[in-house]
Amino acid sequence: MADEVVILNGVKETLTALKDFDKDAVKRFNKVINSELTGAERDAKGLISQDPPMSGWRKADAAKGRTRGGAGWPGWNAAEIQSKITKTKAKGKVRGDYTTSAGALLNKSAAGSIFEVAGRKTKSSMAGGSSAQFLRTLGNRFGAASRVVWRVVDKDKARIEQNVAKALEEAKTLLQKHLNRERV
Amino acid sequence: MAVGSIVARILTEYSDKGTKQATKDISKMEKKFGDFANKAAKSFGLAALAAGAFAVKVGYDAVKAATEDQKSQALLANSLRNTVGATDASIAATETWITTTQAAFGVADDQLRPALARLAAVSGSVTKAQTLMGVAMDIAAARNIDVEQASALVAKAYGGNIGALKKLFPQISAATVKSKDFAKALKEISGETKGAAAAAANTFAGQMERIKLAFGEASESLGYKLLPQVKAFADLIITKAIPAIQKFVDENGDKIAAGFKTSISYGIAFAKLMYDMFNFVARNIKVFATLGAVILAAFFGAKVAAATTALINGIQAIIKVMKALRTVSLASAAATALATGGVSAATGAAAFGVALLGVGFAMNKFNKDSDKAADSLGKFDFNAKGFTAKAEDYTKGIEGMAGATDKLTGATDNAAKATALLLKLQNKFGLKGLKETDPITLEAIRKNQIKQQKLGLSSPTISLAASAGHGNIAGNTTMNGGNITVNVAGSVVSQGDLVTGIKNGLEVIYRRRGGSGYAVL
Repeated sequence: MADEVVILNGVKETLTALKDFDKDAVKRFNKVINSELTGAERDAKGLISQDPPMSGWRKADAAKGRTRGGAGWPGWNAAEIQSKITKTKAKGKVRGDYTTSAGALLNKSAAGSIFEVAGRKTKSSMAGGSSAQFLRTLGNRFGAASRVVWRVVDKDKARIEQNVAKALEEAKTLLQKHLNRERV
Repeated sequence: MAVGSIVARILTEYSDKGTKQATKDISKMEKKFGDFANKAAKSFGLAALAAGAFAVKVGYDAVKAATEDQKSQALLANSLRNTVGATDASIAATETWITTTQAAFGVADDQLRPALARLAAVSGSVTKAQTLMGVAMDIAAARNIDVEQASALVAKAYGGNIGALKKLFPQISAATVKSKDFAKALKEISGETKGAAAAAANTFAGQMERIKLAFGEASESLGYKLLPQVKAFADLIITKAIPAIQKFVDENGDKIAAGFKTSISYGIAFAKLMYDMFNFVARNIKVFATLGAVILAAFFGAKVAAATTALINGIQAIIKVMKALRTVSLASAAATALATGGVSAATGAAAFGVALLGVGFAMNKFNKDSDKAADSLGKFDFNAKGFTAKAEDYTKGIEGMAGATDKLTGATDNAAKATALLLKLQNKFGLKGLKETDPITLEAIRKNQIKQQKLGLSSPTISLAASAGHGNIAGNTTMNGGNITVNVAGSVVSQGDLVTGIKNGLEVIYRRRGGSGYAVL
């Protein structure tokens, strides 16, 4: 993941003000964000295979839950996992650095989440028995943890940030032009 | 956002909710400053962060204010063109008048513009409208109503409807109301209203309002520059300035806090101090690091007078640099921040500074109060109106600091020696509460050193002649011919030590030979 994070500033204010002058410009800006997020979402969904990652991973949920605090091991339903990989522009929690999300990918299914992060905290060498085998096989076949949405974000974040920041700059410049025209 | 799902954030946006937190943090700071200085020192780290966020908030508000101000100006211009056929020149002059009036009477331009537009419409002249605006402001001040409301009354009265004005001023006679004589009505109320606006503007509340407006104006001006260039947060302040400030205040928090504690308008001074730090640190990070080294050397070395003097010299040198920096005009400082930083955090900090110093220029009282605050900072010497230093001071400041650092090294060495010896004395004699800066202790150390020099021995070997009658001590390894050699272990710092050492040595010999107790001194 890129070390530097671009923090967008004044998106809402710019768009609100710009709406009074040029609604099409607002639409153009929103289109940039939407198309970038949609592309990322599509890429993330593409990382989900139709078949389970390993032969022992059943397609249906466990009938009687024993693992995962009684919830049972979730079945590998590719369609469901893909449908639950979504984009969002919802503002999340404000972080300690006074920033919030302006666009993110979500991986909401249980199976998708396991596939995404398994082995991130517990390495196969530290786990025992079947857990170690599971983590080792998953790692060998699909690489280290962060295998779906985070993988896409790691790969494309910098480019998306740049594109959106550029679009925002253009919107601000356009707004300024309109304001200058209005000014005495 | 769904709970429990994996969230991979792609786009990050500054949240104005954070500003509330920042404000809260600053409020928390205010309370803490009321407490003892130690507590305040701890809080400074938090304040630095809060001020960083606040600086960004100012930049953000500046853009917003500029947008609103432009709209307000456009509306007035349009109205004047339509009602009195004003030219671009007269509209520009009107804007100047509004700016002056705002500063002088503490009435916001956002209130003045619609009021002026209304009065221009009824009077048919911009000049008359300005005169009527003066009346409206007097009425507003006398009856404690807002200027827009007062201007509406004046507009009505000017049009012949004196009745509305009479409701506020019963002294207007019925005959005047009936005659619709505006001039007479004004005469009748003049005793109460004349000069009310000016008087109100000079009250404490009025002055505070003027500060607020000056701040707003500075913010708007800056906003015009920032508007096309507002960019994302960047790492300058966050990765360089704030850690440096945190380090600085961690190490000097007590002193700064003590200064604020005695300050009358510490709130303003605090903001200004923060600006000074941001501005200064952002541009002089290397110099600041050197100062950090001086401070570290002084506080982690030995606390002796010489070291403290060197430290103060170093700080004074830095202050010269700061003063030199402040010779740069505020506008160009903001422009430089935009051009060189190109990041909103830096511009935010500049905005913060410009806005605050706008306050400073707006009002003499601020200067006086902040001077008091600055005075209380003692050696730090933050002076609100000392914009007199020249660029050469910068170079001199650096040189002065380097010299001070050299002196410090020597002073630290001496101090370390003194401290080591003091520790030895304390252990030796079981003394407590000795300080190396205490003149009595220093004298004792000096005398002891002289004594040691005279003895010329740190672990001496004393030879005594075996005198007659003490018997044969052959076979004792310490026997050398007719002499007895006594090794005194450890250092000797007094005659008493020496005697005790010899005594102990002789007792060893005595025990080894199992003989009689001849060795008694």
